[in-house]
Amino acid sequence: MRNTINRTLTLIVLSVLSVVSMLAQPVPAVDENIHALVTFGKDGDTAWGDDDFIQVIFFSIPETFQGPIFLRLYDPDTGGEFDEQQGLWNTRMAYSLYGGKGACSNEDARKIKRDGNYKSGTMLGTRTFGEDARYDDKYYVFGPFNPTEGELLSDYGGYVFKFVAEGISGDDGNLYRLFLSTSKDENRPIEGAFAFYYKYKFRLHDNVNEVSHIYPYIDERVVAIKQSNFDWDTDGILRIISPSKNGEKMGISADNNWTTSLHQISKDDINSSLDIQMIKNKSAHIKNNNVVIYLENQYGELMPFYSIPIGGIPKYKYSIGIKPKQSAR
Amino acid sequence: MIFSCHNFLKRFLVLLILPGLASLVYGQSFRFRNYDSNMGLPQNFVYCVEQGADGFLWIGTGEGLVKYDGLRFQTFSTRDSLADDFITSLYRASDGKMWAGHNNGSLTMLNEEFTPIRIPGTKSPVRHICQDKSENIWAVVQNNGPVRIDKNQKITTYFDADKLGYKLFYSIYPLTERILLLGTSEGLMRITVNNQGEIEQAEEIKEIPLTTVTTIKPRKGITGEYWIGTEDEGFFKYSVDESYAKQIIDNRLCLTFNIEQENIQDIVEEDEGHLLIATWGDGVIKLFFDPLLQEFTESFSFSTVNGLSDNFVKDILCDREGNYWFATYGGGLSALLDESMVFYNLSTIGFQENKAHAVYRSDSSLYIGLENGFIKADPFCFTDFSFYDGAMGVPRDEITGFYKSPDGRLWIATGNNGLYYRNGNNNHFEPFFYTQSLPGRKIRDITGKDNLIYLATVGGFFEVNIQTGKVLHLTTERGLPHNNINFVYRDRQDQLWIGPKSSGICRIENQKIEVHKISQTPVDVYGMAEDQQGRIWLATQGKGVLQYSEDTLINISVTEGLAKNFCYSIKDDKTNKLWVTHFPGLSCIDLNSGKIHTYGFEENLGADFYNTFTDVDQSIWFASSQGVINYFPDKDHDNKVPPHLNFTVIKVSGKKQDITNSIDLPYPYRDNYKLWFEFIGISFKNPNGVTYQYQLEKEGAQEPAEWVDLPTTWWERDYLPDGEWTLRIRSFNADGIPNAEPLVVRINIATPIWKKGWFYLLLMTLLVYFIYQIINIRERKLRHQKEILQREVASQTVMLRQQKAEIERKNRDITDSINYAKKIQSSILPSIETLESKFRESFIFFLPRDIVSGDFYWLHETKGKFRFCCADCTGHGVPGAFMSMIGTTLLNDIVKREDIHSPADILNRLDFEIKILLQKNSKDTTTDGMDISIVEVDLATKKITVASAKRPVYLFLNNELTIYKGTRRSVGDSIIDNRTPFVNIEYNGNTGDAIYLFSDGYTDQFGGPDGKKFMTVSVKKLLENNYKKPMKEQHQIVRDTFLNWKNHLDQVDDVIFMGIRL
Repeated sequence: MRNTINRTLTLIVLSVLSVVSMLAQPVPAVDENIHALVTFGKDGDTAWGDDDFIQVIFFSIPETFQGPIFLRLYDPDTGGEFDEQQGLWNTRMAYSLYGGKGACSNEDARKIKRDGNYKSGTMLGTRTFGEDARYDDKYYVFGPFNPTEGELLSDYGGYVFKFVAEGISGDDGNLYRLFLSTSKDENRPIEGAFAFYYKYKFRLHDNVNEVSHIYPYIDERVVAIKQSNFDWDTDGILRIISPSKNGEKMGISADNNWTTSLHQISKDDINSSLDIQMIKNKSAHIKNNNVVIYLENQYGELMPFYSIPIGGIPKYKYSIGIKPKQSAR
Repeated sequence: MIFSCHNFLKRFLVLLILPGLASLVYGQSFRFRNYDSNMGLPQNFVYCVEQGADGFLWIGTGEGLVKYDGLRFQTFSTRDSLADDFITSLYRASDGKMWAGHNNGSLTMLNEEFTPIRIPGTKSPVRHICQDKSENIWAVVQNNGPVRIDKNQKITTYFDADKLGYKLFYSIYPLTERILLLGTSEGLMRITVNNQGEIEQAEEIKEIPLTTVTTIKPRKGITGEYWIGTEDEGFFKYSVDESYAKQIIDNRLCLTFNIEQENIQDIVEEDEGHLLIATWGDGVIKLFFDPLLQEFTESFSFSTVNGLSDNFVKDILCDREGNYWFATYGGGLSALLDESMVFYNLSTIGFQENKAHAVYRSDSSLYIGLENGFIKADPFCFTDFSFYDGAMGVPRDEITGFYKSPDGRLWIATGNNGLYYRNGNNNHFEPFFYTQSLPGRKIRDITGKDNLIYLATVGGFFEVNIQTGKVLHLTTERGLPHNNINFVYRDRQDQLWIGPKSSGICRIENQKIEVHKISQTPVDVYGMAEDQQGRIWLATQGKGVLQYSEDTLINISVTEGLAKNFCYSIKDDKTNKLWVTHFPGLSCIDLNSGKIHTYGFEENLGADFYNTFTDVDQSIWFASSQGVINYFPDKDHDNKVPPHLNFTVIKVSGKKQDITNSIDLPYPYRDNYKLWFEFIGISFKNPNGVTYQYQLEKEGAQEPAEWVDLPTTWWERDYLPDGEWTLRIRSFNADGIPNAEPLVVRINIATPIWKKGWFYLLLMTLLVYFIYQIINIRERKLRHQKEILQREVASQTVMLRQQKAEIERKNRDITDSINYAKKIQSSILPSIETLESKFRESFIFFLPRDIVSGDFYWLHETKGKFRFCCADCTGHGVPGAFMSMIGTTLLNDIVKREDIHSPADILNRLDFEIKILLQKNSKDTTTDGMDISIVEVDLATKKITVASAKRPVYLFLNNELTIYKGTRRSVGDSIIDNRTPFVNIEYNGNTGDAIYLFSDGYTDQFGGPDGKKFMTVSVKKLLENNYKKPMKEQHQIVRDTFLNWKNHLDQVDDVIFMGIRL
């Protein structure tokens, strides 16, 4: 079983590496069209869109890359326009970067529930921010880091670093973006690097015309997926675009609750990504909508989202006059 | 003007200060040597650097531990028994062992070989390693806390999260064996531990903020005080005893960093108290400590702009030669090996299009003259600079020199616009009028003394009194050889010298001009200097450097090693070196050693050099087309530290050996040993300049071996005879300083077996054993033979006994027979009384050899004649007796014959009878016979008739001896051979005459003292001495003489001796 997983991961990684371009490392990614990542202070209300006040993002650096890497954190403080104020600004955010043994390979790091040792590995850098005008709408740079300080996981494409954002106090919502870069001073992508995450928390665009995407990869073992989302406020629809699905709708949660839905995977979807589109309700004009989403396969294993769609953005295979068959599986 | 904003600003600003533009530039450059993955490092992330006790540099990277000897990098990994490839910390313990901390929470101890040490309960990086006074090693693990490894490598962990809190740990320093300072992610802690792995007490040091404490370093020479480096709060001076901490804050320091907010990774304190601070992002900051003020007053910043390979610096090492090594994170390793020259490149401050034509330093300001103004900068922080141009009254003109008068005014000389000055507090410059002449305003050089300024111009020499405005102008009209003056120079005796173009030099004194043409040909002197011995040196155009005195002119040119013969200035320094500038490059003439060293592009000194200046600190400033270089003579000293010499590889016949001081090899009975020694003399100052010598000495050699130069870093020998050899290697650093103690290895090649004493002993033993065995075998054989013989002898003895018995019996029988024959013979022989009856005085000494005798005597009386004979038959014993019997019988028969009348007749007849009897007529018969003499004495007349066959007859007639020797043949001789008849010899005897007859048994007897024969001569003497004595006495004498002569010897023949007195 583990070997199969490893093989699958390796295939994924190779695929990722084959398509990764210089667009790679921003999180949220360009293709995702997501406004920002979001993490609330631990005293926040989950109804505001964060179920556990922790965000975990993984970055994979190719083994062949030898230069210093930087993780540029945009708007790390909690204050100013690019954050969500709840009363007075009182939130402190702790950002940490981990590498070394166990940073990713430790199961706790890849679990939905943050009750285990999700801070596994070796802390390479940490910084706590409150309201700090020096960093409002500006970058704080972690690094440089030696790529070899990451956890070497060939199945994940090289040296893996783990970024953990945690709201350690307060109740404000912290919006931020990440950029993995070769430069301290600008966002210069690392060739072949990519980000992946198992549980994704982000802020939807306020603009109702913006469609956001996430791209889980479907490997040959997957016959069905179960998506879970939190606090979507029933804001529009979630749908799947894939070679076999032309907008199959997914369950969407209301305020402060979880919703799940099951979806069959046809053989046309194997070895490609799903395009899960988040289309806002054009009439509701819901703003500041923070959501959480994750996917599991039929075994209950978490499925990673990749910052770029592996194999490219999936397109529905039109079949004139014939309705695409659902997989018999 | 370089800056685009200048045109705008110059309208409004008197002073253009450009520190804001310095964000991209830092300042002065240094001579760094950078090492990265292209040169041999496994990666460019260097976490730590340490120098081993053997001089090697150990470099910790994320992909292995690197050993560096100045020439080669050698990378070690887990394949070499390292606990992990990732090295996070290094520490050299007091016993010389190197300890490496790893990213996976383990350690490696290096002591000739790597020993991995796993720390239980962690896989987190080992961030720091150190040692307490009891020589316990302390390491701190980032996620867990401190670990102690005692001398027996017993590991004790102090991973007590309850006591320590959930912090991360980055640094450690043991105050005592049980009390530790612990740098954590939340400040500094002081913990007390016991030996059981328990933390007895843990307290936070409140004086240090709750930030990550990255390093804890004890202050040099001040017990109880520590430098505490933090991640974002700079660094603190912390006193343990006083529980006092002070953050080092000084905003007067260079603007390029903010020391109180720096992320500090390491702190190194120099002996003088200066600090080198490794920062995370701002390179290395050097803070200069003023011992009087007890604070840091100046700073340098080593960064990528001035040569450092990366601004993220993890670790700093000062090696045994005083070189600084900076472990950078991403840029490999940077080494600062030479601080004698500091480069102030104009390009680093955006003035790359400009050239520095003049340089001047006063107090804490550096002035650089450009083509269009000048720069005033902080020499300690070059980025803190101001540019002076027309906006501040400085003409847009070449600035050719500076002078500061005693009243504080700064004077600048321009290339075309004369002299300008400003008052001390005023930033605006004003022109100073001293001439209307256009050439006179073209100033080429400036100097001064007190209120007098001396100007070398194209239009002559000016002496300007800035107090009174009085001007002295010297031109060709006043005696100068040329109006274009290259330079003006004031020597130590305050004499003023100028260099008119192509005219040698002139001394100016009291408005008088003393021209020194130097030589008959034009000499264009551009600069002048005076060395410590007071000698004058001139920099010339085309003739190199001249040492000039009234009677001496010594030329130093490219032939002697000068870089070029075209020199633009010359300057002496405090170490008695002369610095000569060229287009491009520099020449340095060391007047102490006479060596000339040139500097060019390789030394980063490939610019065109214009002017020089010596400041009050005696450091020299060079103005060049690239900027300014500050040279510190004090720091340009020979490297007095000898190389650290080590063997790196020892091979014997291609097989690697352990590196030891002694190599014991058995004797090579097949092939010779091929010895190969690789070594390295570690001198990082100039690794390629290290040279080597070797000495190979045989034990017991009478004279010490010579040191031989080695052009390589190895020594090989294809053959070495047996014996005890001592190989010594020594190395010299680039400045010729050798090792105090050479590297020594003893090579003992065993002597071959055949040269060993025991072998000789063994050989002797074997030989002895072999001989013994031969003897043994022989003896055994002899014993065997003896036994055989004994058996044979026994057998023979028995036989012999039988035979003996038989022989004895036969002998007895024979003896009996012979005895009986003796009786018969005795009965045949006449009795002595018969003779005595006729001759009273007579005797017969008759002594047969055996029982019976071959000699006989015979007596016969007839018709008044008495015949007697003495016969000696052939043979003796029984055969003789037979012959004597025959003789006696025949004589008795012969004398009865009628025809026998005389002795001769008797003999003839006897001869005849015997021949017949013994059938001697054929040649085949034996020659048996007898020698016989017969004497016939006429009793009446005393007439004596003698006939003799080979026997002499001695006659004393009338007291005279007459000897008749007889016929020369025996009776019975072969008839065929000798038919000589016997004859009668007659003598007329008288009474008293004596006749003696004797057989040859008497004369042939051996004896006497020499064992010789008695001989007839002795008989003759005997008889001559005794013939008168009575015959009885003579008988006794004859008998005694014979027996005495014979003594114990055997009697050789029968003896008969007869004496008769008539």
